[in-house]
Amino acid sequence: MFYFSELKNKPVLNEKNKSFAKVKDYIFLANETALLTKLVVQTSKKKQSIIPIESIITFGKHLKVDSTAQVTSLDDNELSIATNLLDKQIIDVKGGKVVRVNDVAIAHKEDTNTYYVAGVDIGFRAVLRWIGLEHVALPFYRAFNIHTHPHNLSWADIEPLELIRGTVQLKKDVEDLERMRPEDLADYLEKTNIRNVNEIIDNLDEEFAANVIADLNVNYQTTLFRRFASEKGAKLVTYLDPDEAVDILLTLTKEKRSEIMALLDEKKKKELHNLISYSKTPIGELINPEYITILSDDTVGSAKDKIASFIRESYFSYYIYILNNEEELIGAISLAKLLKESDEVPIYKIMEQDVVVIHLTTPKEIATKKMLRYKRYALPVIEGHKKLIGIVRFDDLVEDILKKI
Amino acid sequence: MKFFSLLKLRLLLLLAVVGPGLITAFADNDAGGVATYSVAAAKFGYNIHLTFIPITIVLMITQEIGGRIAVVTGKGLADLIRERYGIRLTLLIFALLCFVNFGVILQDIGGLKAGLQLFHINIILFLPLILLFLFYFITKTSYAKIEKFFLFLTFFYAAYLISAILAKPNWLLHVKSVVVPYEPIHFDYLYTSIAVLGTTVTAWGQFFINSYVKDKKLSIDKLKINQFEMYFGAFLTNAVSMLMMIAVIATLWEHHVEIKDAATAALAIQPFAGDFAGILFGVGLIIAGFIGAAIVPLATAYAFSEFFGYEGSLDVKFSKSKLFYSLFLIQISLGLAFTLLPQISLFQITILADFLNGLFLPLIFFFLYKIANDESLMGQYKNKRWQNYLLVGCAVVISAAALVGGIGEIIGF
Repeated sequence: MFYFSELKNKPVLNEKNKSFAKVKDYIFLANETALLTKLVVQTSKKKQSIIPIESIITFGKHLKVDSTAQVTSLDDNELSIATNLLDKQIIDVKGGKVVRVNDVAIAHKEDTNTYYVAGVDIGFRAVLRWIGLEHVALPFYRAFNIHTHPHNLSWADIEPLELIRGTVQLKKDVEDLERMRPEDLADYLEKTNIRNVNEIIDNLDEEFAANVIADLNVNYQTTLFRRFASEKGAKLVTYLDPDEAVDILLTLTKEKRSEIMALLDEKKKKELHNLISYSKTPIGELINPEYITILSDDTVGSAKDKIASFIRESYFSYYIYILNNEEELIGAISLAKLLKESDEVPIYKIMEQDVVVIHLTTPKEIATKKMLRYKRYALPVIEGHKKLIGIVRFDDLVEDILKKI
Repeated sequence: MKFFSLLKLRLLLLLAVVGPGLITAFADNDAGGVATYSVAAAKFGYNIHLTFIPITIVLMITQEIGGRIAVVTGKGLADLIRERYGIRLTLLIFALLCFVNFGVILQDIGGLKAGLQLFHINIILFLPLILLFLFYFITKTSYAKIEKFFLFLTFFYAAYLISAILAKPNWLLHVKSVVVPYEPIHFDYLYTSIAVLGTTVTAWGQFFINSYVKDKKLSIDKLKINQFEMYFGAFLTNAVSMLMMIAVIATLWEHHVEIKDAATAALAIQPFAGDFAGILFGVGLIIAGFIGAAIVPLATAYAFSEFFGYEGSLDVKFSKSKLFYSLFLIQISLGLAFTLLPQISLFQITILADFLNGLFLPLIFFFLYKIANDESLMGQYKNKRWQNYLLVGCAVVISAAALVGGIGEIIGF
């Protein structure tokens, strides 16, 4: 692979190894593969001619061509590296500026004997390359222990259609990312390095970012939160599921954690404080404080209304819990059952009275077994005299087990 | 009735485009400018007025071309240089621009410092505070608000009008010497007039006006009124510098008082024109330093983001435009550090920076010429023939004068 900076203005040799022109430009097709089709050579001070790429005998810094090749002209869908690609502004889909094209990489495919634009170099090393200092600078980079490599964007990242319209546009972009499912984006991010992740998360909408973070593995979550300013951390925490939030908060230093907590509103702070204090118990780290409760003499209709107002995207629970006036847990009802009943029926008539519960001290194995035996997707956790303090959800338990396998 | 509504419409249109021309032009009268004008006026007296017409014309022509290029192409001068001339020339121009601009920034922060000292304000404490405020303001505020703030500051230039009146000049003689030389011209006059030209028509100003008009996102139907604003700004700026020079000539030159910078000028005119005139002169210096310290680093930052394709706009948040704002911060911090060092003579820097700027200009004019005449870029808005004549004329005169003046200075005329 060669860079355009290394090829430009180099002599063009004929079959007898005699220089007869200089390389000025390469012409390529603006499509998904960006095949080179022609090259432009300067034969005399004022004369340039275009010859087909097939006339190349040997490629590289000492270009040898068949000098008898027919001179041609440009077709409609052909673009030139020097005028349409090099030095042009690269923009993202939203039109935001990213960087300029500092150099263009050209590669040769041996088996088909074709040449194509492999990508564009947008790094600082390309700048040095143009002024002949790339190799001078390398020892300095090494001396300061900086690992550098050319910063290439692959051709696959560039929108060929936009190039014809005169702009170098990137394909992947924040908007594209936000269209992915948070779970998939998290998987994708886990394959790249943490700096990239940080940058991408920075650009996402906060609520979406929180969903993505929730799906990252613990190491990434911790590293990210260590890098975030406390304000940002606090904002994300409010969007995260409380049990996820607690897990992350617990991996941070005490100072950072209290900084973030200090920025939360009172209600959230109290909720998280409780969860953190439960976290030392066997089941505590899985407790989720988001669930729906109603009073036993409410009607089915008002229960449905409450569900409707509570539901949000990440909501995942199939039960609502019934409390008496002393706030003790006295029943539960599944959503399916609720749907079958007419609105004016009071809840206490239809609720399930012997609720399957667990305690803070219940080991996870027992909790899992209970869920399976009674076919529950969530179990309420009670403390003292039937005081409901949260629920443990099936998905959180399974995830916990999965980590141990 | 119809007349008034038409007038109102015209005024509204003008207000929509006003900004770039006035602000750039007034920033040309920065602290370095005030210093150069004062020193030149104290040294050459009435003869310095001969520079008024040529400088005004050059400023009008070049600013108008810059603004027109920005409106028509939607690109800045640095964008266009990079795209047409490639990376090597870009690096060279950027290095030159950084160097010359940094000289100007030193002048401006130095002027700000000297101005504050005139009023016995603690500079160790307040100079960093003022610059910190400036950085905060530039990063946190939108384009529109920043523009309004600077337009507001330009009103303070009226201080020079009052100090000129207080100096009780011979108005008629001043006006007459704009066209008729008062006394024979010496060789070192050339060197100084290049410096005066260089502080008014600046390399950074050319980059800035392009970027700034581009950032304002004016549509092409506003081109005519934008042109008018450029011309008007150029005229007003030079009128202000003339008032400043009148105040100096009527006092210091008449009494053969030598000065070496703007702050000593402010002190030295007090015995002749009264304390109030001196104070006003000092206030003008502070404002000039502040505007310059804001605009010139901004010009470098704009040029950098255009040259290398990074996001750079006053309307973009800090997180999206980190390099742009960081570059601004680095320049003012370095400027501050240099300024607070007591050993450095800002006077030397002032004259050198202006002179280098004068040498750099013909190169910029070359780019302006090439770009403004490119039909594929400018279409029907490309340069008219008379504009080309004037532009080339300016470049030739400046190059020759810079050369002659420079040689004169070296061999010690």
